[in-house]
Amino acid sequence: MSKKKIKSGHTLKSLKEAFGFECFAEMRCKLFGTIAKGKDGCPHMAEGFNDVARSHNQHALLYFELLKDSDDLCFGFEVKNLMDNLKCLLKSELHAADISAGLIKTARDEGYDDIAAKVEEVSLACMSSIYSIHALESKIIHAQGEKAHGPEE
Amino acid sequence: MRKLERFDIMDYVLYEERRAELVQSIIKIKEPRRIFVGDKLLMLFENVEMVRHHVLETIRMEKLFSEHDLLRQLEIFNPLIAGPGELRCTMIILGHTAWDKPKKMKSLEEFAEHIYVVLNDGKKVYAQLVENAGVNQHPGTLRVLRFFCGNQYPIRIGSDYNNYKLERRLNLLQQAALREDLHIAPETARENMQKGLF
Repeated sequence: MSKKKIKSGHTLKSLKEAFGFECFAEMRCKLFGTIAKGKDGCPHMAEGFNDVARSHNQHALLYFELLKDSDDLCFGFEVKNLMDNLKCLLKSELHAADISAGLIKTARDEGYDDIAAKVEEVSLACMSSIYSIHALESKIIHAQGEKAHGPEE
Repeated sequence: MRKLERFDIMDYVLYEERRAELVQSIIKIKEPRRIFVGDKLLMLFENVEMVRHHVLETIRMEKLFSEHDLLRQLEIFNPLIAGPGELRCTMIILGHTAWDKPKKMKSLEEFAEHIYVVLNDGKKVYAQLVENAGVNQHPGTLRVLRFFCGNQYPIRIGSDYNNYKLERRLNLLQQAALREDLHIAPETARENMQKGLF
């Protein structure tokens, strides 16, 4: 059976929703597990919650693989060399900042000012990730320069 | 305003204990400094307390507990703190899907340069991109801007960008907050810590 690249449409949209839900469900199971272990004092139950979390993680991984091969601007990507992977990461971080900015406006328009204020912090935290990726890029460029011309005196 | 130093950043555990109280105080500080220019631009006029809050929240949110990570956060966020006679703000371009957001670096720079404040002496001052703010080196919805105000303070803010021309008057609380950031040296972090503020 030939592999058909997923293009924009209902399948892609549903895949993104399914991926998002599995990630959410995994986090929720982990939270319940932590509560079971701590507040509820039932560590054996915590293990059960963590098993379910692992299963959500596997489902998310499957959707991730499918999304990776799609032609979606944000979710589709190819694993390339170190530098290209960093560029891909940077693009996605900038997109994350865009999404936060969009969310601030939407939340505010709908009267959720407290949510808008919290997302502002996420937006600002994106600055940190963008900087870190940029620093990694510079490190590689520097290392490549040293390789080509020898270390600086 | 002075830049943040290592001693300004409290220990993560202490921050976690006092976070609820500190968030309440930062909400009050932020309120008059969060200024919307129409419904597409959000300007967060930064001061030392707000930037310290960004650092502490980023450390908490991203679980950055090593000394190296902490120092890096200072490097990232310190360019948001204004020098003498200037104001700096983080501009967030909102609603990325619905409006004609400039897509390239060049047009973003041009857009940022169309944002201005009108000072109390009537002078119009255009924004400049802060060079050493990492985020300004990439296209995106976040920009760090500076306005040179000298001894004056802003009373209006606006944009004369192509399809986004508007101007609004800052209310008295906003004017007072920006005036305070321009002219009154903030108390040192140590003093604030002693007072239990940070």
